[in-house]
Amino acid sequence: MANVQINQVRKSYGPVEILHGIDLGIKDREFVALVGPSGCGKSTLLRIIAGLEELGQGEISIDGDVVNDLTPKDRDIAMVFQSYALYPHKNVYENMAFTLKMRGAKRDEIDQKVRAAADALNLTDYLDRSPAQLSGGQRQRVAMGRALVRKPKVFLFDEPLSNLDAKLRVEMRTEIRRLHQDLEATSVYVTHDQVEAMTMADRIVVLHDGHIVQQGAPMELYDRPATVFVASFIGSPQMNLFDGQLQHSGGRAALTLTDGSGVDLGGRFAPTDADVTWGIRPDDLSLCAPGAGVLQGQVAVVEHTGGEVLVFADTAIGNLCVRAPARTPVPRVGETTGIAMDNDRLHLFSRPAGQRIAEIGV
Amino acid sequence: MYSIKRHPYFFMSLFAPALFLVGGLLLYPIVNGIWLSFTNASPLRPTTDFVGLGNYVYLFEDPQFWDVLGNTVFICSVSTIFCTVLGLIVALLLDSGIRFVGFFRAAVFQVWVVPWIVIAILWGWLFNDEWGIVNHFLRSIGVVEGQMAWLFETELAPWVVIFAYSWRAVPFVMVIALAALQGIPKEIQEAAEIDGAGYFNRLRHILLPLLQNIVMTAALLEAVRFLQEVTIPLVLTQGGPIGATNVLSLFTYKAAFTEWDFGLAAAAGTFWLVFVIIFAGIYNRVALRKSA
Amino acid sequence: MTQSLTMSRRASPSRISRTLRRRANLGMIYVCVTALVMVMLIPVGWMLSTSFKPLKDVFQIPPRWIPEVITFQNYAAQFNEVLGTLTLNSLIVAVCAAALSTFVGAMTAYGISRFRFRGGPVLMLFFMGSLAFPVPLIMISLYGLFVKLGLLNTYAALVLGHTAITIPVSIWLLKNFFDQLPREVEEAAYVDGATPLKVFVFIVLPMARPALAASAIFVFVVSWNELLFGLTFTSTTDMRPLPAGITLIFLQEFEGAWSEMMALAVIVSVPVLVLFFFFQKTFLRGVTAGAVKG
Repeated sequence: MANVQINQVRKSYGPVEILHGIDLGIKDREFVALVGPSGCGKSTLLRIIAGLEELGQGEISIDGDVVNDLTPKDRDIAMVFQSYALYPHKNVYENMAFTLKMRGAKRDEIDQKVRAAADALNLTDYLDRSPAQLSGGQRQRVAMGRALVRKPKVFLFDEPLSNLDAKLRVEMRTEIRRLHQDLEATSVYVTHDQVEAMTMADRIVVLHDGHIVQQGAPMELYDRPATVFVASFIGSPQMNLFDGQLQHSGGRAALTLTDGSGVDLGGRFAPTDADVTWGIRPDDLSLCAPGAGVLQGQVAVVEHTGGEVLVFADTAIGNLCVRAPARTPVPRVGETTGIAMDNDRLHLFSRPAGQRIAEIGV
Repeated sequence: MYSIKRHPYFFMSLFAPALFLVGGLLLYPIVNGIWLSFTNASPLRPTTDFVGLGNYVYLFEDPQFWDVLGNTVFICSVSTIFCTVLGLIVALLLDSGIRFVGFFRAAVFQVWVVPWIVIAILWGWLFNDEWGIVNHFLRSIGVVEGQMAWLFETELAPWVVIFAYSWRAVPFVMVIALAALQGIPKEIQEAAEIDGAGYFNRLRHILLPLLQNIVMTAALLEAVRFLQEVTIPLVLTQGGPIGATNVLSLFTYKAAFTEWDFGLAAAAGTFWLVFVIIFAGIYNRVALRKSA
Repeated sequence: MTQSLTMSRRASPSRISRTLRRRANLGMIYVCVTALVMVMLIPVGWMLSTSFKPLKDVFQIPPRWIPEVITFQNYAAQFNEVLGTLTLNSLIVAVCAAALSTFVGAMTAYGISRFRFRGGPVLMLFFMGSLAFPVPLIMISLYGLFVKLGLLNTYAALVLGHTAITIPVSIWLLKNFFDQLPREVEEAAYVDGATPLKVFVFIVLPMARPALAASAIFVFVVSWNELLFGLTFTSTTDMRPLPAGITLIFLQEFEGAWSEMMALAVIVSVPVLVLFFFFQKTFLRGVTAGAVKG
């Protein structure tokens, strides 16, 4: 259907610059998630693509046409809002028909398209209801239906699932992804929830303070976060991060922890001396007998989530989190445990800059 | 949401009718009115001449004008205090956890739509010296003997006007204060109760401070409205007896459309306008609590 | 010192006496509220009572609340051509003013609420300030203007006058409403392909019905009440609205016929009271929306 090209987009509110020159290309039929903490500029960027906010500088093009000066109507996009933004005085049918009506479609064409969309979303029985008579999940579906009655070039989603309860959110996640594939659409999806982004997107774009800090496939971001910020933002529970020293001894790099112990990096990194932040995901730590492993910790909290167990322990270098499979014996609170680490999975970042230190040969 | 740059015609068409109406019916009349106050304009005179501050000098040298100002300030301020205090009390009582709040509120609020002309007629009957129910009530509880000539004594007539103004305005203050009270989260009061504050402490330290801005603004609105009000003095008391209820609105209206002295009336009106602006400015500083 | 004493006393009694105290307090509040509401309603009640009495019973001492003899004669006497004309005039003027003030007010309020421009706050300040513009001062220039336009003694003069003095409140009321309306709904319509004008007409105005109603009722009540424009800008009975007509015609012929005057007063109150009863909730929400927001 369409690709979206964003070139050097800047946006300010008064003296405050919100977006500092964003460059982003979105391919046809791609599902791109914009993630970041609140205030990072992700919603503003989406609204600029939609034409709801004017861009300060830069250029937006859809399908090769520059759309900077076009109103939303002429950009051929559809948008699903966080609050659903249903028209309260129109019933479900009229809500979905509105966009077609505004574009001057014939009545039987409107009818056919609305019914097809309602069918795809299981809304056929609710066409006569007013939004006030619908449940949260149904309202969300109507908002989706309103977007897909017309085959727009680009679908824009502004945190569409954040007003749903946890169970529905998981269901709708799958459904949106399925619709995206069925419609062969190009989708841009804004969320603050990195799990949503991980599960749905072909590509995740992480924004922080108005900059793109990293973009790539979900597992790429998970396995190779470009900065300390991305490392801590992607993944739940978040990566354990500590200060350390990178030292070279005998032509090989080694990491010295703050408690003075050393970790062999097995030749993955170039040997230098530097202050670093190092990180290890809870998945890459494991519990072992007291005295064994690289670290010794006292168990502070044990959380059972069902499929796994999270163990939070106090160690000489600080608190850390270990993820263990469910139904394995775990120590009780207050007991001491050894903690083993998969050294190959250890991440290094420069300190204080927080940039990833690349491995040799990558 | 919209930018003028992108939708200039929509912007202009939204404002065009109001610009036309407000410009012609409010802005032009007020500016022209202020200009007329420096002239001797009158429909009875073929030409209009600039007379400088002549109208103002005439007004301020006229003892009757000072009486009018005195009456106006007295009637409006006492009425404002009455309706604000009473409206606040009714609102506080209604918000104290009783039932049928909607019923009581509706019963009081309907008074706010009773037409002024009706009040003028009705008040003449209630305060009738011989057969009026007010005098009857005062006699029956032994406060007075014989008759109080409410409408014929300079001491009493302003009070008849004040009662009418306050009565009619209580519902407005009540409704505004009640809505504000209902907007205060119950948790705040409960927290204060747990902290050991009884009702009057809660009233003094929580409710009244939170209500202050809204209630004081409502009071200012009422005061401004009382200044504009003219039906009761015009129809019921005709400014009398002996000018005791002659207020600024009546004085200005009569100067303009009974004596057809537009210049003098414009001067009185301009003085009135300046007075309100200065008063509102001071009031804003003194009575309203600046939000932190 | 006294503070701590009362506090400890309050905390000590058993639960039963506390409940009793609560009940007694609540009972006192009911008594106070009922008494205050009664006082507020006495004038209206007395008006109704008198209006149903034969004239001779009006002067009874002590006065009776429930008439001994109920008569509708006082009302019947009011049904004449003059009052009919005055009422019709008032209705026409009030409805037109309500429509004009509300519609133009809605457009202006929407413009101020949705376009960000430096003049917006200044305009609002001007509108609110114009409530304090002395009506007689405005009337002087309006009189000259209406003479020039040949509008004296027409409905148009009254409608325009009433619109001028009510439009600031209409704008204020509607702007409060629009400010609280979630913008996402309008943005959705905008993205759906509606022009700003269509968004306003098809989405915003239907959603604003309660606020439009509140504004219209407010204007209607003010117009129904207004005396000075009616006295000055009309000169014949067939154009006069109620307040002016009553002042100039009925009160001049009035010879102590209090029961008939009360019947007249009731008749004049009925349209606004009916309006009030049907739209009480809507009106209340409109008037208090700004207050609650602060």
